[in-house]
Amino acid sequence: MKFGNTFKRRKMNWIDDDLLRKALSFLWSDKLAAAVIASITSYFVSKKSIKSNGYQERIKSLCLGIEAVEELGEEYWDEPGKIEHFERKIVSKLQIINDDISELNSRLLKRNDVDQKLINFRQSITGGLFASKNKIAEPGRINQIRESASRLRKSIKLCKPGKYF
Amino acid sequence: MDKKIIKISEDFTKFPSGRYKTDGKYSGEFFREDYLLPSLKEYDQVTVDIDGVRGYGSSFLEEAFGGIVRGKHFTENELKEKLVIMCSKNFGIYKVEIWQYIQEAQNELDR
Repeated sequence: MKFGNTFKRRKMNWIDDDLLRKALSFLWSDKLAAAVIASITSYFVSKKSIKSNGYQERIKSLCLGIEAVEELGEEYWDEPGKIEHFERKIVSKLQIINDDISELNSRLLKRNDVDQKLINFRQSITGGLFASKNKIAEPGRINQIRESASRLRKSIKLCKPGKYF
Repeated sequence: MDKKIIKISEDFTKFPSGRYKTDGKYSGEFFREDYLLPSLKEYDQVTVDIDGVRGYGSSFLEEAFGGIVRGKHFTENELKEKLVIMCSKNFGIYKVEIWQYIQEAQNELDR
């Protein structure tokens, strides 16, 4: 009986060693190494693509917002007199653009001069006699608005998302 | 050193708008004449907290701050000593704009 048990234990040890050896050799096989590299690569590629899509979406929506204020500004300066509902809309929409830009700014690389371009855009729309009773139509401003809006959009598009975007 | 803090959204309005007094009681000229200048004359340092409003038009900011120098009440250098603009990150752009108007008004006077 004693001899039989010892034999069985030895046999079991031999089987375990064999399994272990096989498993180790599989772990080091080329196929597994390739699979590991492929899955790591695909993880980083998909992560980067999600990040890039999110960034592009935000830039796109920011540029659409700028376009909307640009149109409001053009309409506003095309008419004489104070147009209160336009003024409120313009100021609050500009504030939203400002919030978006300052939130983006903290996560951007190569910010260029986005802030200064935003100031120029704001000035072209809300400068002069904006919200004033003496406001007159200033068609000359319309070109300024268009130019400053286009420069702002261009400047935003030139930025690159940073590490923490 | 006597100091004063003006919080625009609480002491003045959350809806600043317009350039001249004729544009309403929340205009840039109103703010300058009734709030900013008296404080600048009375105190050594005036901090203007610009946070908490619904947004500023450039005409309001230019009249309120550029107008101090244009009206020859204080020079740009004096304002650099006396005036502090306080704001959060989101309102940082207005701070830059304010100092640009002060500088431009000084440049105009110096010409």
